[in-house]
Order: sequence, then C-alpha cells, then structure tokens
Amino acid sequence: MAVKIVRWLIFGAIISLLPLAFTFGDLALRGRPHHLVDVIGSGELLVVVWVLSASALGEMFGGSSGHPVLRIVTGGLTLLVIVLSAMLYALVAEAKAGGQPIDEELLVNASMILYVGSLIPCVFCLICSEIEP
Amino acid sequence: MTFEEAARIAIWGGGFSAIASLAGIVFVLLDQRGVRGMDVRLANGERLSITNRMPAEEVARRIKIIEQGLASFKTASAGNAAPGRAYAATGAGLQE
Repeated sequence: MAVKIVRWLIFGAIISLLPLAFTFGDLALRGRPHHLVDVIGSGELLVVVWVLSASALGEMFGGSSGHPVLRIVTGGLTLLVIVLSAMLYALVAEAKAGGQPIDEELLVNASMILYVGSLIPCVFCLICSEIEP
Repeated sequence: MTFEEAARIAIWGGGFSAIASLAGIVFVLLDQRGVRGMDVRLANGERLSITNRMPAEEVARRIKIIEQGLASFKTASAGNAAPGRAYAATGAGLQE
C-alpha cells in the first residue's frame, strides 16, 4: 500500500506540477512578473486537480472490492473535487473568452485549496483500492 | 452563478473533502490495526489475501484455491514441464 501511495505521489502529484514549475522558472529567467497569479491565474492547476482525482478514482474502482461504504464515501468526495474543479475551470474559461475580469487571487486560492483538498481523497482512494474486506 | 460564488463553493468543497477524507483515513488506519494475514499472487496476476477478519467460509474458499494452485504446481514440476506455462494455461494456479 505504501509503495503505491508513494509512487502515485511522486509520479502523479509532483510530476504533474512540472509544467507549472517550468513556467514559473521561465518567467523568472526572462525577468517577467512571476507570481502564482501569472502561472495558475487561468485555472491551469484545476486541470491537474481533476486529472489526478480521476486517475485515483480509477485506481479505486479497479482495485479491491472490500468496504463498499468507505469506497462510496471516498468516491463521492473525490467526485465532488472533480466536479468543483471542472465547474470552476469552465467559468474561468467562459469569463476569459468573454473578456470579463475575474478575481485572480481568489482563483489562485481556490485552485490551491482544491489541489491540497484533492490529494487527501486521492490517497484515501489508493488506500481503499488496497485494503481487503 | 458568478465566478466568485463558484470559487467560494470550490474553496468550501475542497476543504470539506480534505477534512472528511482525512477523518476516513484515520478511521481506516485504526480499523486495520490487529489485522493479520497473508497475500498470494496468482498466475493470472490477481492477488489473493487471507486475513483474520474474514468469515471462515471465505477463508476456506481461498485456501482451496491456493491448494489447487499448489497441486497444479506439483503436477507440472513432476512432469518436467515448465510450471509457469502450466499455470498460465490453467489460470488458477500459483505464479511460478
């Protein structure tokens, strides 16, 4: 179980942040403004959130069949994160396409909380995929 | 729904999901204390576990599967065949 969780954290949660880290580094090297708003101010982190959550949800459905109540609760929480991140991303994309201003600080905060808030249910999904009845 | 409303809902939802999941993880870890057992990997790639929390009928059923696998393994070895191939063919034996 521990191996699976560590593998997912390294090759899933951390590697998926690499493009954002490279963007941050590139902006810094070129002397441009390089705050979090400049890197994830268009909802980029939200994409990472729902992809990570969906992969963890898939692991759980393909894993052990024990503890159905726990699996339903975990799946529900992960699905909640997926829906919220997708909804927020859709609203951001709509606002950007329509030229409407958005509160980017609020978007960054929401993205960060959703990212951290998705890691814990994802780890829970991985645990549920391993535990036997 | 405005963007600001959605962002606030997302913040609350993410926080709720994190806290509820954390509580779930603590519950699972506490529940798993005292569980003893063994894992066997079958030839078809599946993992078979036996724990002290399982009902006796389930334990008996799983032991029977393992015994069948061991019997196939002995037969294949005695016949000088490649055991792994024999198991892959039956699909129910133990891994080589």
